[in-house]
Amino acid sequence: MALKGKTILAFIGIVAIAAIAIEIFTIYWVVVGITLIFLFTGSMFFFAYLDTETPSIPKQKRWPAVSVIIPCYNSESTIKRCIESAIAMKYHSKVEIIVINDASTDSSLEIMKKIPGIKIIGKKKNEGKAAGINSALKVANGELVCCIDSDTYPASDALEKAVPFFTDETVGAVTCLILANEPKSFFEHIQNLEYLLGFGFYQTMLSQLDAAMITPGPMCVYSKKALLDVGGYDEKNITEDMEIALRLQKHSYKIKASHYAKVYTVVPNTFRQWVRQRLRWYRGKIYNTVKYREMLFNSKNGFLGNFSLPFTFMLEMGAVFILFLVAVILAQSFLFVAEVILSAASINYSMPIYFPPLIIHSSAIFFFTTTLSTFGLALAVSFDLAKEKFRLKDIPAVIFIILFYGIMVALMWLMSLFKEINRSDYAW
Amino acid sequence: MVNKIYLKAVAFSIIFALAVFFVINQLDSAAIGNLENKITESQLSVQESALFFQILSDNPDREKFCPIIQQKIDSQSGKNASLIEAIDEAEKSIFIADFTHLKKSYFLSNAELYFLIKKSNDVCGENNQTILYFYRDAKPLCSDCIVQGKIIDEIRAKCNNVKSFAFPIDLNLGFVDLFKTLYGFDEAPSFVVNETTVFEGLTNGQEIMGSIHCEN
Repeated sequence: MALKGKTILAFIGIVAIAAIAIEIFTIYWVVVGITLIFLFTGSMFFFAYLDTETPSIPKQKRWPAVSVIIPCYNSESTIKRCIESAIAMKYHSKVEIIVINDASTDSSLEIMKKIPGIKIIGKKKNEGKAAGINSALKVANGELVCCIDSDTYPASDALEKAVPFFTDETVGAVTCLILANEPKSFFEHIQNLEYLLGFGFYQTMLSQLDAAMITPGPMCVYSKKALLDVGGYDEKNITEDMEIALRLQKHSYKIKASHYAKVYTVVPNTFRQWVRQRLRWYRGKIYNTVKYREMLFNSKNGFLGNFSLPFTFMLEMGAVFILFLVAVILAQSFLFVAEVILSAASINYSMPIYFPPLIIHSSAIFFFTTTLSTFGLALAVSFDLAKEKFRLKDIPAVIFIILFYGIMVALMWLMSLFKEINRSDYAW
Repeated sequence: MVNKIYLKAVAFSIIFALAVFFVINQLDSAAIGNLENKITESQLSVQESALFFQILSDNPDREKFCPIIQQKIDSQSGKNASLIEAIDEAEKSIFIADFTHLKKSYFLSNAELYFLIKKSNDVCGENNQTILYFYRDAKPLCSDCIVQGKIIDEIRAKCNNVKSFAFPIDLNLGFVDLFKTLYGFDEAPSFVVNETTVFEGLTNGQEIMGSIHCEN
């Protein structure tokens, strides 16, 4: 990957800002400042939780017809179960299933051809998920469209529990509670907890505030009218699920979340896959935040413009900045250790191993108290909303998330930021 | 509802932050109080030893009193060395507190201990070897001072009769300025061995050992 001048300049710029911030404000106040943003954001979510009633499934008088759309590219290992799960979904009205074979080169097409009762749209050229859904929209007969990833298996009652949230014409989409499919490895368990938090507590609260930032790709139900109204999916966007969510809301459509509708998706089981996924997600978030920057702090967009979009972005960039602060402090310490070693060498003294003392500021206590209490509360509410039981075997995953996962995610944000600045090619 | 949630979140953030800082402040105050107690203990111990000398001056039975005084001095000297490490550590971790007063109290007590040791040598004929070590405390960090400190620590560990007293040259301590004038040094690290030999700049252990009568 060739680094462009502006990328190097941005890197030097952030290092310089971190060093200057430490020098002028001291590390203490910089950490306090970032923690206050964390604290305010966490408080907003909790008051959203306390001040609004946990949404119950609205009573449904009419069950509109639904078209299930499954875009598929080289999914021979998952497509059969995915389609069968879609067929098995209980629903009170007509459901049609449209599968788009996006020029798969494996046996996906042969597998789907063997399943009766589905419509198959064949593509000669691989055009991507968004283009596939747009093609299916043209032939879909349902009033609602339910887009499902080919590696996702909805629960049999998922549709029944999602559709009632289309309470009026202003609701453009209803999201589901996404969980990891049969998590076996430790890494899958961690992601399952992360999904539970993200799609359990945070997505539900954001939808309560009409400030959801995403209609998650694994499964989401849309009003076909709304999708067509806003021009369908953006076929060039790397995170089309976030882009469509922002565009729908820009056009005054609401996004609701049904944490009752459970959907199980295959999650990366290797670190390499996870890195690729996260780079795509986070680069997409950065790209779309910049694309929809006019929504930031725009009161026309309510909580989305005034809170979720700017504050989550600030948090993510705050995490990146903390990484830079740590890096600058470590670099300063290493330089000083090198200076000590050189001093010792100048008088031929064999210096015992020297480490600068590890300082735990009270600002760090403030930071950890805030993040841990926010995390703990969010986790407890997520388990409650999802009606899932916290088991002893979840404890190692929780500890790992607290100690390491945040750092891993912050590193991914850092890489995504610089890849986006560098305009590096997308690869996944 | 919108404004209500914003206001509640802001109010809660402020209250939560204040509550956390209140608890931290209580813990920090307890830690500072503990250090103050230790410094007071050191001062009392030094005063008591000084009182012993006054008693001794009127009493010819030195063989009885001197070992007691030496024992007290040895014990306090060890305690003082670890006390400054605790003060330094606390100063770096506890941000919102002024340690100048605490440190000045400590260094004054340490200086008094130094003069007691000198007196012990004169009155009791002890063979305490003294090193007055001057370092820089404030930024820019002094790498030479770290190395010199380690070398002096090693000498002290090797020679039971070596007593070292470290003083920062940048804490506006009047007696340190007097030492600077008296021994004619200006930079850190510098040190004075047995009031006679002055070393300015980073010096290796062998050179220092040359001017010390080391007792293992």
